[in-house]
Amino acid sequence: MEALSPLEKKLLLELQRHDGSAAPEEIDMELVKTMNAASWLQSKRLVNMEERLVKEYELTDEGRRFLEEGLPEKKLLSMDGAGVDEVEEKFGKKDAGIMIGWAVRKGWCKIINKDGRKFIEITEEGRKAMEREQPEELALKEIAAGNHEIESSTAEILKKRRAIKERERIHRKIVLTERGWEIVNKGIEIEEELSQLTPQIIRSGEWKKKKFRRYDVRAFAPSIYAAKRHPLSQLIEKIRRIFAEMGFSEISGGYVESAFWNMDALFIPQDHPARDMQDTFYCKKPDKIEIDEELLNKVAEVHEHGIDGSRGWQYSFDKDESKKALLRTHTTVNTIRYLYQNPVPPAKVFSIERVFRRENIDSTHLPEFHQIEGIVYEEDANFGMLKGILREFYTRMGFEKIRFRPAYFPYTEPSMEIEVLFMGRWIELGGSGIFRPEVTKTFGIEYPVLAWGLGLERMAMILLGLKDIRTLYFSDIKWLHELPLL
Amino acid sequence: MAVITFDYEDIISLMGKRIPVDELIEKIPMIGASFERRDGNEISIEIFPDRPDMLSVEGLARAMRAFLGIEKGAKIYEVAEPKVKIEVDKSVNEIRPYIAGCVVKNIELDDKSIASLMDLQEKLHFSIGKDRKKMAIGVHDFDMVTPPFVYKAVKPDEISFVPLAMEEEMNLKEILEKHDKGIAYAHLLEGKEKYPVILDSHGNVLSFPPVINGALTAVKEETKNLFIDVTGTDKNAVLNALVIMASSLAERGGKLEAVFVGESVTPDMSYREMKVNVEYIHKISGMDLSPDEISEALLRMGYDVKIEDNKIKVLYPPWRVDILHPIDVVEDIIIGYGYENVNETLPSSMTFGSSINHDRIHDTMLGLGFTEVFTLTLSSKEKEFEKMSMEEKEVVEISNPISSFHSIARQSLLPSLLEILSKNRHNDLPQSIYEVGDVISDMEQKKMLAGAKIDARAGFTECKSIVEAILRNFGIKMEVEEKEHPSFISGRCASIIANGKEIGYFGELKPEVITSFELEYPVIAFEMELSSLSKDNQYN
Repeated sequence: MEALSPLEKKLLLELQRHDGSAAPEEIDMELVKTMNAASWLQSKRLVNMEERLVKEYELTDEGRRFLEEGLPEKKLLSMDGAGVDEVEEKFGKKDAGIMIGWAVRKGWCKIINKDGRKFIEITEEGRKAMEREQPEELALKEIAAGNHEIESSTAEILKKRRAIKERERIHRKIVLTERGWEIVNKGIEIEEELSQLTPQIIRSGEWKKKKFRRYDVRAFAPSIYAAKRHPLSQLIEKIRRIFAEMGFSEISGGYVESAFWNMDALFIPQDHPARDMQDTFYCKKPDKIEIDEELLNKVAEVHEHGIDGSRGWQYSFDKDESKKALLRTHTTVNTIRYLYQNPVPPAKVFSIERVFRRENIDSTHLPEFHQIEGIVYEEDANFGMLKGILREFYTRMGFEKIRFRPAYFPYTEPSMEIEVLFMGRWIELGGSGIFRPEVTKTFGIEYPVLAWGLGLERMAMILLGLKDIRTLYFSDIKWLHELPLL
Repeated sequence: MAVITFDYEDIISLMGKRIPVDELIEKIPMIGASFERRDGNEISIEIFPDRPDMLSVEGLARAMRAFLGIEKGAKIYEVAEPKVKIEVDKSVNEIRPYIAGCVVKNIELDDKSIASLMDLQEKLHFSIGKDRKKMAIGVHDFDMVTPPFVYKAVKPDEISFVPLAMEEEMNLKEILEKHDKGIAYAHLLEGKEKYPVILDSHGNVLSFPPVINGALTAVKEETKNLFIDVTGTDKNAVLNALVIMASSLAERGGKLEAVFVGESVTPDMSYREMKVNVEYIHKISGMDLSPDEISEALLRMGYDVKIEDNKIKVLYPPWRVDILHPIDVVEDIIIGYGYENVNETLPSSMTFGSSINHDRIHDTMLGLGFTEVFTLTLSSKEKEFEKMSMEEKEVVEISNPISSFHSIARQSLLPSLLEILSKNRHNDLPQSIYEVGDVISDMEQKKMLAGAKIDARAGFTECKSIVEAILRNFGIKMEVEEKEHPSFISGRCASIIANGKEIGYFGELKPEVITSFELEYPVIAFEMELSSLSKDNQYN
């Protein structure tokens, strides 16, 4: 048997009493409760709600006068043979017009012209009719008694005579369905059931005597949401854990850097397009960052004439350019500083931090985003190891197919691009390589340094199936709430 | 990003062997280039900045011919003895001192090869030339002029000629003022009293570098013999660009003829030599490649190789201007061997991992029902100060912002949180959000924790409870002091005091701040310095 609440049971019994069909007003329950119970029973297919449009009437002042005095044309009975002018004199010109008009139309009287005067002549039919109650009068009585089922032609006449007003109303009926009848016929017992369990019920032991009402477990429950970390934050945490598990230590650095550390120290030539005002945010405040002169000279020399057998860039190095303040364009600046301060191998460090590029905001670009940066510095570091580490990382991130191809970055040689297969497409996720000797030898770094800078947002977008990177930084709270954890 | 577009049939005819288009598209990236797109027979490839020699279909075809084993090893283009001379006048020394030239004979040009030539010229202008500053190239119909040529500087109104794309004569000054190219490149000659020109023996103008050539020597399909000039302020750029132009034209079947430039001769098409230690190759690649394997890989990259003992003497083509150090040769060996064929290993050194995380902060905030958001660091003075009813403070300012909305580094997290609430007006209340992020306040970068809650019944007491709960989780007993903060209702803002030091503040935001973010409900908020709460949490 269905789980029925006491109200639902009561309504079913009421309907049984009304032979299976009743208007809500006829049910011996509070209307609101009736309607609620009916809608629950309807969802259980035990009743149907039938709706019908009906016409209802109301008497106007004129209608009430007709009801009291009878139809005006009846008053003509006493005026048989009188002149029209006499009728007008007795009832007033307006009412006389109405009386005579309707009486003529109904064939109750004729107008006779004699010596230039008009006289009323009541017909035989008229005489009989005027003594009887007319359909209009019967209808008015019905309406006054609250009955609206009157013949439509009569209603039309009364409407025309402005005796009644018509309006439309929806009539509801609650009707037992076949299944409803089955349940009713089996017999419904109303016993008091427990709904909300209360401390009072528990303490009093009332629960021992009563039954718990069975709830409809499929019934709607409102949504609530668990507070959660932003998906980028969850992803960063996962990456952090993977690198820490692989023996890497996390490092961190500041947003404002000098062109020296961001670029010169990495052997990026001073006329490299990435250093343009088009690509890099330079600072107005602070506009300059002082660099240790000895270090500056060393790097200038490497740019101009090379080191360790390199030809260098063979141009004239501008030391003022080095001192320009900028928002770091990559976190490789973190790792080169780390190597400068910790030149003794081995080192395995990483960082996951923000970088800034002069990009306009659109669905695939933001002026700031995160880089997953890392280096391995040890005696045996080599290209095969770079491939091995990155494959290990992306495998742990859940990508099964990974491929590598040649790339170009000014500060690494060999350079390598990493692509992963996702939903049948190869997607570029980052650059990597071995720091050039012009970078490492300058800082007395003796062994190869394997380095990579991988995109975080790109990976987040493919994992979350996002088409628009802005979703990540201008988040809709509902979207955040509804997103499953990564 | 330089992208070249070419016809599949054209590269096939240049390579001399038919490779199916899909295979070609798959192989090109493995030499170091990116496949961009294919539209029917038209293929677009992104060329990396280190390989200007591949900025033309001719150069790419040459590299691929060796890489695919169609024709391995050095590609030698014969250069005939010089006959033509360019005299270099001292007057150019202070303006644009360097010039190099080459004659290319018996070339058959059609619209496709002319287009490729012009495209290469433009791409070199941008890459090696830094938009013609370091060097600019002129390509001429050699038969229209009479050598010897002279390169000299003249006064702006001294010489008139018909420039390309014009019909009447103009002097140099007029060209800079009226001609499209003149307007575009006038800045390169700014402040100079004289401008450089290349003239033939009759005084005809070949070129007004780096601006425009004369119409006289314009290249047409009927042109048989070419004269190339490269002028510039950077000697290497000039010589390198000439070598790349000459080698591409030779690849098209042109016969190169050297040119006297003052006392020297250009172009120098001889191969350059570099010695690379075999051990070094092994160490960097991580593979014990045999001399034969190394040699094979280099031949596929267009080198000539001689192996002596433990040293490899490589001869690399003059157009490989990217080779600065033996490491560049090592990369080519690995590319020639195939990135996909390199054995993978893992680090052998023992290190202990550690991370900088803020798990305890996040756990605390989630426990209090706050959802984390990420917002941009870049902000504006309007958002940071005006909307917050605050006086301006010193902040990091960007000199070339993308827009005024992103022109400074934020000095507080609160405006970013309010912006998120503002964007979420259509969502149900209450909303509780937080962010852990960096700000630069008082010109110093700090990591902060900030939270905000918007709710019809949000008030000071609730905010105090929240902040107290956070501090309690870090074992800190909170003390408060009244604080006047211009963003908060006076008398409903407090300093957070931990261990006698102010580490942040909290309270009820002022209605003018609430409404400046187009919000209509009470907002409570707090912000505090993370470092005072806990040391970075390390684990391994």
